[in-house]
Amino acid sequence: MRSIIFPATLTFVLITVASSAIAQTNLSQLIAQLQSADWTARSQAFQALSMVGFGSSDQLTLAVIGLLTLENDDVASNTITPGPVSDNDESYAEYYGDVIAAVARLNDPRSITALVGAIKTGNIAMDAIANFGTNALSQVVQQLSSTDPMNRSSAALTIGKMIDANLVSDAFSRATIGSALAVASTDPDYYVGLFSAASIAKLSQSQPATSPLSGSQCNGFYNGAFNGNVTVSAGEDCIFVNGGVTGNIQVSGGNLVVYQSYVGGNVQVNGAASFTISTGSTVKGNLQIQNLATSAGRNDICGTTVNGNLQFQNSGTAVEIGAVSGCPGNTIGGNLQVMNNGASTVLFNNTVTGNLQDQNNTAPTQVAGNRVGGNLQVENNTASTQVSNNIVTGNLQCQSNTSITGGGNTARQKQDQCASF
Amino acid sequence: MTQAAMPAPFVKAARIALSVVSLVFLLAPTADAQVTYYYTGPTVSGSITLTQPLPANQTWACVGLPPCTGRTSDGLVIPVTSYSFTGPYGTISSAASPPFFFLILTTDSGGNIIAWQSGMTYELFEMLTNSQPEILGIPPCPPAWNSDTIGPADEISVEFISLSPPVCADVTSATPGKWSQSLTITTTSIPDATYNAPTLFAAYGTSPASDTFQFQASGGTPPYTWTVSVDITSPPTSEVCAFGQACFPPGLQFDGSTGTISANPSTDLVSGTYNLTAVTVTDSAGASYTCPNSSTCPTPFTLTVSCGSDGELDTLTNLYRTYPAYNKGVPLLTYVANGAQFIPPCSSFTQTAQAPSSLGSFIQSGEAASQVSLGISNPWALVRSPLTIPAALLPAGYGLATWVTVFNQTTTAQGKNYGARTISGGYRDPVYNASLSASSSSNNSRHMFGDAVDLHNASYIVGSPGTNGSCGGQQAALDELNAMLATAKLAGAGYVEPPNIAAYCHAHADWKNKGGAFQ
Repeated sequence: MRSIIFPATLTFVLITVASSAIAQTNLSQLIAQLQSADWTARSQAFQALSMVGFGSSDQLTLAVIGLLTLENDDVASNTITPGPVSDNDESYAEYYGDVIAAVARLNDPRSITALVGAIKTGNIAMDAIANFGTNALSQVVQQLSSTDPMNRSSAALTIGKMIDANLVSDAFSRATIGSALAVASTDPDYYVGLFSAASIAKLSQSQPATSPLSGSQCNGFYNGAFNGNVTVSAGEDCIFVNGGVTGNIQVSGGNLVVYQSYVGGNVQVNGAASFTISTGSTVKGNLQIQNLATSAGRNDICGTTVNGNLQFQNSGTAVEIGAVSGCPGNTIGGNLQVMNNGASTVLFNNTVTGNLQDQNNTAPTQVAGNRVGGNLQVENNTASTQVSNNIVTGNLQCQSNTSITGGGNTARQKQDQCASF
Repeated sequence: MTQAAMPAPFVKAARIALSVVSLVFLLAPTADAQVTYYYTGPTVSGSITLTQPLPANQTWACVGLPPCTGRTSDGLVIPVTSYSFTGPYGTISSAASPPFFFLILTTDSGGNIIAWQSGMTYELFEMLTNSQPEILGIPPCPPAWNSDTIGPADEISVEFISLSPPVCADVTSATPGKWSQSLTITTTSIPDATYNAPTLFAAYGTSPASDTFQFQASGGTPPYTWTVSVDITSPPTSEVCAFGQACFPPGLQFDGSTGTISANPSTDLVSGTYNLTAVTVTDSAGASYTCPNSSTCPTPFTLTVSCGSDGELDTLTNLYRTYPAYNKGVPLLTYVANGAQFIPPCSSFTQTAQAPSSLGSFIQSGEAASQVSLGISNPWALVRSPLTIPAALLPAGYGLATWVTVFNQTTTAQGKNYGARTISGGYRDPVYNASLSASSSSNNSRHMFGDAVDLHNASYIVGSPGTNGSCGGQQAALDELNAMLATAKLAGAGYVEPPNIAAYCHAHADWKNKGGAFQ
């Protein structure tokens, strides 16, 4: 058991005063004490001010919001002082939880940022954030890109709560949510993917079937089927969830999401801002992506059936065509070709009826766990190249790769650089 | 719903007369998009002219939405030269070319349907091999379909045909734009529940042996929720509604969110056969279906519960009790030392309590002493009763499947693995709490409010890792903590402790501030 000894030089306000007896002078001192560098001092002030009520004045409201911001920062940076915190009595965590609950009870929009900072701490914070609906949406969506998977999974849950409460029903919010959750549904963290998929299903179920009004404009969240061809232009967010088109989709700028949806023809993505084609989708024709500009982002093709060929080429944005986790492999009726790309490419766990060709890429490329009905050809890649655990009915052919490793492959013949793989 | 007899004899001629047994119209979404309208009016009839005879023992039928050209991938190409269908709202002409729906029925020598296949031009209907149609995906609704001459603007329709004998073929739509079968319960019986057997439920019909049994439904708009009403007067039972759960035969419990029956070792088992007087499934669109009814399930489900024939008893090695809510400043007035009702059915209680050390390091020796001073001879841990974690959502590899009902920590003997996570902290005794050092919030411990838990995986060591949140460098343990905290959130936990401030390698979750019975 850790004993906390207060430095003698510090003066702490007694917390035993009743709320009615807290004089204005003491009140000011207590509010100032909420910003102490010592969390135990902050905790004492917090408990004393709880007796007054943080909703009793704007000054106190802002003070407790500021306190939560401070605690969030300390928790995030592991700078809880005094520290390290002994968990034997869970004192800090218990105090922190009470601060979150106090701020949540305020239902004050000014607390959104502070509550989002505590979003991973459970349903007190998440429920409070969700009640703010569209006012909090952008900050919650931002958390889906957090480096902390607990923040990401909590954001997905919170969005689900917003949908349940019908607080994000406008078209812009739906498009924002649909796009963000479709990407998050392929998150490598199990719970992020799970909660995102659950929330995106809620989003689809919460509106009647809707499809674009015309094929020349696709800007919104659609869960119905469009009869004909669709063109996505720059500045548009075209999001199909549980819907689709009977013809082709051509993307010449803008963002495209196809999630658990159907495309009767081809999908051609040329220079788009981003795209996600994921779990449960079907493309009856070919899927061709090319000429994506250099970007730090990542695009995903996951769990999709492509009856024709899948080509990804001449692009500067990373892509996952299946991944180790979160992004299931795809089923490709024709050939899978990944060529001439300047950002990382990952090809995991796909089933390819024809040939798989991974060639002329200048960024790292990984080809693993695929089932290939024809030949697997890995050639002329100039960055690190990995070829492992593929099952190839035809030949495994690797040549002229600058740096290649691998193993665990089966093939009729393993040739050249892959001979020992 | 009207039904018409199949034209006899079995059709091989080029012209097929059809009888539509079920025609359902879904009106287009109105301002209130959740309102769904179903048409069950007069029979629609019509005919299609084929250009060639069918193969032997196959009947081909097409209705409503030509051109009916069959599917080449099925090896059956039957071009259609003309068609005509008249319904109560008008006539479909051959000028349109919307998607079509077809059935291929394979019959035996007696004319009975033994298999069927179905499809649409967009392949949204899966191939079928049983009598219950399974509809996947969303039929496209092109404008040509919506604006044809079949009736008032905006209606769309789906046709389902059946030849004699009738095939269950109601097709309805619960959500505009999404098509599904009408909601029905497909479960026909419940296997016997037997404690002290390798699994609680033996294999029964198509259901494999399992420790749980789940009611099944089809159609409607998932997800489903379930309610059951049980006649608990025969055999007579005393306590069947413990812990605020729905009344259910003691020894078992029912989860309405999944329609699942599982063991409830916290109630005394009363062997016997119970009548489930009503089992109702409700889909997300509000449609419901109840058994028994006069058509598909004329008699109530019965559920037989027994201890099994061997009479062998489980032995408890841990037993956790529940406490009523404790509020700050209010003593534990209702502490009861004898927890007989918590002994799992068919089990004996061989250990009156756990030694403090076996409850984990969180409960300290000082706490045990304080409990003794209160007249409590043994320390108990408190957990939410029950804290049900949706095990189905847990990823593989974490060993969390056993984290189902936390306080049911029985043995894994005889295959009944209802074991819980190790609980290293629960309710905090007020005297012990008061004895803690001068941490400013110790008097406000979240463990003082009756529904906090600290849990850890027994395969990892609980203790100070030296570095906050590192679990002694065991990344797998830290991953598991995150998994436990995520599932705790799903279970509604108001507050979970961020791992980086949990120096001890455990997952803290509590329901303080969340209201309910334990607030």
